[in-house]
Parts: sequence; C-alpha cells; structure tokens
Amino acid sequence: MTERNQQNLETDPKFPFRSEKLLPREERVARFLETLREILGAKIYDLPLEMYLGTCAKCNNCAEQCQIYQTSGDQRDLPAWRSDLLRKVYKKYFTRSGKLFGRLVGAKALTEEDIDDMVDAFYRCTMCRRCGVNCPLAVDNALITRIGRVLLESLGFVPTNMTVSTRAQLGDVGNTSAIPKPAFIDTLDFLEEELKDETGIDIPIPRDVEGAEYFFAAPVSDFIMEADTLLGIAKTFHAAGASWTVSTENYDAINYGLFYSDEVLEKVLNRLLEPVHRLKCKTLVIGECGHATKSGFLFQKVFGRPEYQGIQLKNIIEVSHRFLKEGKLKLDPSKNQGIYTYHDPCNLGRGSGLYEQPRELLRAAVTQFVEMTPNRQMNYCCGGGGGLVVVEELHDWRMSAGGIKKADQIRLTGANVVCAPCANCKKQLRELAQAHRLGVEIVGLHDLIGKALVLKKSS
Amino acid sequence: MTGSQFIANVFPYIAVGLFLAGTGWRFAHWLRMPAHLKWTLHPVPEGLAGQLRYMLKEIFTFETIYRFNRPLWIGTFGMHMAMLGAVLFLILNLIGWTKGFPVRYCLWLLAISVIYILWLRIQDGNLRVLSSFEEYFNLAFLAAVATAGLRASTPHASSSSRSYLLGLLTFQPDATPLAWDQLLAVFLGGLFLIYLPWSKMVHYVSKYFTYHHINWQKE
Repeated sequence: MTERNQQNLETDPKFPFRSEKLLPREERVARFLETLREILGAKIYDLPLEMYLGTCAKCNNCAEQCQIYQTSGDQRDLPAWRSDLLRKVYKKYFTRSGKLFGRLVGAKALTEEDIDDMVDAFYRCTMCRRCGVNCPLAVDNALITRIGRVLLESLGFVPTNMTVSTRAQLGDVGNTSAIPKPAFIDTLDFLEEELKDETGIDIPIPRDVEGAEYFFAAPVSDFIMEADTLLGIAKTFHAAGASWTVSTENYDAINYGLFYSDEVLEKVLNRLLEPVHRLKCKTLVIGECGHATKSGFLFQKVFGRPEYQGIQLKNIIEVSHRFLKEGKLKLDPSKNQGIYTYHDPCNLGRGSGLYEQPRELLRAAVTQFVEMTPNRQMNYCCGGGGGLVVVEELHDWRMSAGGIKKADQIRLTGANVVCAPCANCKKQLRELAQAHRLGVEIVGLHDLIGKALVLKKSS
Repeated sequence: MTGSQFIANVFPYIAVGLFLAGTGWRFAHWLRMPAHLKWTLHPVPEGLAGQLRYMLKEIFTFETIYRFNRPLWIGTFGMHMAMLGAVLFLILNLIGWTKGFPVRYCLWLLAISVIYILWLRIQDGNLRVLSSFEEYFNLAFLAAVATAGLRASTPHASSSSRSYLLGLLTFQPDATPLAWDQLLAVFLGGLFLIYLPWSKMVHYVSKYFTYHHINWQKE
C-alpha cells in the first residue's frame, strides 16, 4: 500500500469519511475507466445515461433550483459542473467527437486529480432530483451522481457507515442494524403488547404467513426507534381486515445500494424479494421509507430475478390510501390537535409520484394542515438525501448547506408538527429541528393515522 | 462549374440532405436504444394531451428558464423565437404572403440574442466555468449565420435573394443574380444545417426522448 492509502481518510478534506480497501492511487484511473466501460455496456442505464451525458446545454438553470448551491454559493455545488466531471471523461473515451476534438468539445483525459474532485463532489449532492424538474432539456443530474458514486465505489470510496450496515444486512443477521432474530421477535412481541395496552384489542403482527396478500417490510430503524409508525401500520392493516405478514428474517427494506453500488442494490433487493416469493405473497409493501421504495420501484425490473418479476410493489401510503377510499378506515382527526405540515420525501415524491395520497390521508387524520412552500415536485430535500444522513462526519454540513433551506421552510409554516413518511428524512429533520431550534415535532404519517383510527372492538 | 455555382446550385441540396439524414440518424439511434431503467421523474403530465400541453408551453414560452433565470431567458427565448420566426416568415415571404422585412427583424433579433448570450457566458463566472469551446463556437456560428442573413436580405438584395430561393425550391437554381455576401449566407447557412444534428443543438430531437422516453416513462 502507498503511504497515502495508509493515512486516515477522515482527515482528507476531499473525502472526510473513513473508507475501506482504497485502491492505490496509481491504479485508480484504469479501474475507473474499466468500470465506466462496464456500466455503459450493461443493459441498464442505456438511453437515460447517454442522453444525460450527451445533451446538457450548460445553461446552468439547475443551479437556480439546487438548494445546496443556493445556500453555499460554492462552484463545486453547481449540478452541471459536478455532472461535467463525469461527462468530460465519457466524451473523451466513449464518443467519436471527444476522441477527435478533445477539449474543443469539452472532453478531457482522466487524471487522479479529477478523481479527487469527483470524490469530493459526488458526496455533496443529495440526489434529490429537484434540479431535474425544471431542466429545459430534462437532464437529471441525480443519475449522473449515482453513476459517479458507483464508479468511486469500484475504487473503494464509500463512507464506512454505509458499507458496515450493508455488510450486516447481506450477512447472517439480514439487517443493517445487526439485530439478531430472537431480539427482533421480542420486538414484535413487545409491539403487540403495546397495541393491546393502547387499544384493548388483540392486534397481531403476523409473521412468516404463507399466502398473505401483503408482505410488509420497513426500514429496520422503524422497528427499533419508530414504534408509533409501526403501531399505526399494524392498526391500519387490522382495521382494513387485510391479510398481511412480516418476515422474521428479511424484513429490513433499507437498500443503501441505491446510493453507491449496483451490486449491493441488486443483492439487497433480491434478498428482500426472496421471502415474498417463497411465502407466495402478492404484494411487497414497503414502509415509510423513501429510498427503499424508490430502489424497489425503479430497479425491480432490471435487478430483480425473473421469478420475482410478478411481485407487485407498493408503498404503505398507497395501500392505506386505498383502504381510506374504500371506507375501511375511520379516522377521528380530533385525536391529532395542532398545526401539521407535510414534508415531501424526494424519493416518494419526485422518485415515486406519491404527492396527493399522503396529503389526503393526513388531512383526514389531523385537525389543521398547512402546506410548506414550495411543495410537491419543488419541495426542498431534507438535506440528508442520497444516503448522506447516515454519514455522521457530514453532520455540520447537513445542518448548514444541506438543510438550511429546509429549516427555514419549516419555520415559515408555523406548524408544530412535521409529518415526514421517510425514516431518513425523519432523522435529518429531527437533527435540523434541534440544531435550528425549530420547536417542531417530527413524526411519520402512520403515527398520526394510528392515533386517529377508530377501531371497533370486534374488528 | 465554378465554386460560386457549386455553392449556389448544388451545396444547398447537399446541406438539406445531410441535415435530414443526420437528424433522422440521431432520431433512429435514440429510438432504437432501450431504456431498461425506468428513471421516471414525477409528476408525469396526464395523458397525451397533458404531455402535449406541457411540451408546447415549454417550447413557446421557455417557462422552465423563465421561472429560475430571467436574464438567460431573455436571450434564449429571443434566440429560439427569432429562429422560428425567421423560418416562418421566410416561408410566408416565398409564397408571397408577406414582405421581406419580418425576416430581417427576426434575423436582427437572432443576432442580438446570440451576442447577448455570448456576453452572458463570458461575464458570468458560473457559466464561464461550465462552457467549453463548443458552447462559444455554436453561438458564434449562429451569430455569423444571422449576420450573413442580414447582409443577404437588405432591401437592395432581398428581391434577388427571394427569386434565388424560389429557384432552389423549384429545382431550377440560378446563381447569376447573387452577390458575394449572398453566396456567403448560402454557404454558412448550409454548413450550419450540416453541423446542427451532430452538435449539442440537436435538442430539437433529444428533448423528445429525455421527456417522453425517460422522464415521463410509466411503469
């Protein structure tokens, strides 16, 4: 190993996270290009990647929509500049015009220093896709950021928090928090007791039920730290009389592969789909988690095994919304007093199209609802998207450049509760609320639905 | 055949042919290219009518830029509308419905808009750092075409330009009435047409794919 690779990378301003198995510096250019060639050759990204890399007009309209750039004013945060780091390399090695005309058409031979710049830049983007909404040429820089991170992963550049969690998930314990199976079963037992204490009704959390209509999977953090969300979801399924189950093995819907690795994304996704298929469940219902929903919605077709293609994917919000529309849920909004606002998680909104369903559910469950401005497709990211929320070394950045716009937006609503149906958003928003003294509570959507649900003793 | 005769009588047909072939090739290439990954960006406008409404609004107002970057919008809206207008009024002029001066107004607007955008790219630090030689070249090329068009459409020259273009359209081109500046306009215009499909300005085609085949792709 070279001297540089032995140093503690937490001190490297270009990549202030600990990373494992870094490739020696002199080998990075060749590996980077080899991986890029593989990506371009794989039948996955084809048309979107070619269009996004080939057609940007460099009008910089994206910068006007990027909350990071609008806060930092730093040239490294210009979405088009960041994407150009990869675009120049793509042009140089993979396009005729780049090979012939080089710098004249914006192509550039890759250097180790360029890789340093990418390492810095691709982890300053929350992949929120806000910049893509009003791109006149419909170029989406978030996909380029993702590809950039996949390339960097091949060199060893990944925040250790992500790799440690993923290793646990793909190992024997099967979840990112490394909770042993007996402890998870105890947690489910505890949640059932809570339900009984709160409602006086036996509301089971069914486990490994073959043939259940809905197979439910949530981010593991919900089982440990967001009991109210889980209780609300259990009550909802119960009130609707739905046939559902959780798995006692592969129940963690978190998929950090979305943020840095196709290989990890594929393995985690198939691991999640396996028990759904084995138990012959029709629908995989993802809990309140934006990135888990998007990784399933977008990548099932390309990474899911052929035998898993028949499995339907839904987010819990879609399912609960349908129950509401079918008259299966009776909600008493007076149980949730106060002023409530809604944060559109990027991966549920721009990524999955869930804008109106959560609002209808929320309006039915609370007394007073106010919108954030802007909202829906133009809503600001929480500031911890793209997996950055799990990178503790980025805490100060997330509270400043990443999250100031969001904090200001929340403050202006005058709400005392922010509803955010996404585990990552909730973590980031709670940290923001504390750092900026927002005086708001951050809750999940099913926390509120659970409180407002009127349950029949016989249901 | 002299060089002038070639430029006036043959080159325009080659240029239009290469423009159509280039555009067709780019369209067919992207049409054949699969999009396995459904990288949909929500919301997707409802139905064909909704998508058409969005597209037409974007094409004729440049709303995305208007909302976020007013200084750039002034230039880019002016430039694109001037190009559309120049083509439209040229056609109307050739069929005898309008005089030649609306074409000149459009060319003036085109030249001014392009020079304004060039100035923006040079003086704005962020645009400067994003721009390669290609961005400047494209704008300079367009400015040159507009300027040449202005020279070729002066009141003094407009009559001979019109009769030459009508000759081209009826496959009976006659170069004899053309002065050197009119020949230059024909030459630059032809080169621009040949270059267009292979440049970044091909977004008159690519935009269809980025919207309809990627961002608006439904499961």
